[in-house]
Amino acid sequence: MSTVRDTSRADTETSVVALARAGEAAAWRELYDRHAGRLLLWLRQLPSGDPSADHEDLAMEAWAVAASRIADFGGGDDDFGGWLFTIARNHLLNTRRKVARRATYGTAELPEIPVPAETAVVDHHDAVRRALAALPTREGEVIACMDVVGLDLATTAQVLGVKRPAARMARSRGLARLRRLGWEV
Amino acid sequence: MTGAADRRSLHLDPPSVLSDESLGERLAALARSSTPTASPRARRHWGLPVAGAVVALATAGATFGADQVRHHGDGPQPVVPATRLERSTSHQPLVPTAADEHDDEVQPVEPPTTFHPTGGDDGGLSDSHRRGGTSGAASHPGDSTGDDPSDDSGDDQGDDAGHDGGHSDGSERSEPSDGDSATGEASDDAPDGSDGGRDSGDGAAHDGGSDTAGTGGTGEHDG
Repeated sequence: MSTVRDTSRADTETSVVALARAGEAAAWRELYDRHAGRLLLWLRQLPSGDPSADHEDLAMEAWAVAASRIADFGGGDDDFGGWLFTIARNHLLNTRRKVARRATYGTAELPEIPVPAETAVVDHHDAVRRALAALPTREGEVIACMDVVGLDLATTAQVLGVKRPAARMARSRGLARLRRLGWEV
Repeated sequence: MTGAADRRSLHLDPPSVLSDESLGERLAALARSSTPTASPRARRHWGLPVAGAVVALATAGATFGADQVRHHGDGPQPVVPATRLERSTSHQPLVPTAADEHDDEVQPVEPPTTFHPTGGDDGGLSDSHRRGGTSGAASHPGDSTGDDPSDDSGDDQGDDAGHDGGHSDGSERSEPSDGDSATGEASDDAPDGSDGGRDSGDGAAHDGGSDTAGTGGTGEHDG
């Protein structure tokens, strides 16, 4: 893995995906360390519709699909993040459809467990999640990608399957709503 | 933390997620087993048959459409008789002719002729009996004596008895079967007695309780 990290950026962006496609374990660890944190954070901001759904499981399923379909991926390392997030989003949408079809809300009626005071970070994450959930779906998804996770406009448009102007417009509208709610964005 | 402090920024720090050796190996193994699902070469293989099918369907559709247009363009055709109708014949009244009067005459009903099981003389059978389809081997001269009586004569008796349906003639016909006629020998000489018994049974069923046929059937079944 050290040989992969020591190469220049341009070579790494092209070679990491190429080595991962060839089945190098070090390349896959490099890709995982680079994208796994943001992917998990992004999935946590999106409602799955199933209280029992685990975001870590969704993320691992996305990684497994990416590894099994890497032969179909023709882009470089810059495009790998958007491709991986797209896979994860498709899994999330499938989970929502399954939940809507089965309509199992076994834990929906349970009372909320009070969060201890020392978990301020969890409170902040929960506040962001609720704010995004209050927005229209497209606006919440765009803001989750660009402002929460930090993806660029092109990758966000690729992940969500929309045009760049549409993504930009949805972001501006969503931020305007959040400002009216007291968010300093 | 207050609500105002929570709403300072939307940016969240991603969790620290690091890979391990086993995860890298598993993902690499999946990548090694990965194969492209759709290649341009594979598409070319099924592209030609699909194109051929499309051309065939288009040709068939065009032909069908042309036929439909041609049939639709045909106007209603007047029905013209092949031969000119004679006006004089069409207005003539119908007069019965001598042939019609002859056909309308009522034919007298002839009584059924007696049947001789020995069948040596074909002249004893009337036309009506011959048309009945039951004359079979008995109607041919010499069958009763030349052929094996176990094959033919038993059938003849059963059929005749069945079709006559309890007439007094059945008793007359049944008498020779007990004597030296071919029918009687057939019933007695049958290897297993099944033919004669079956035929006699049929006759009994059609006769509806006729004494003669019932006697024959009972005798065979008892034997």
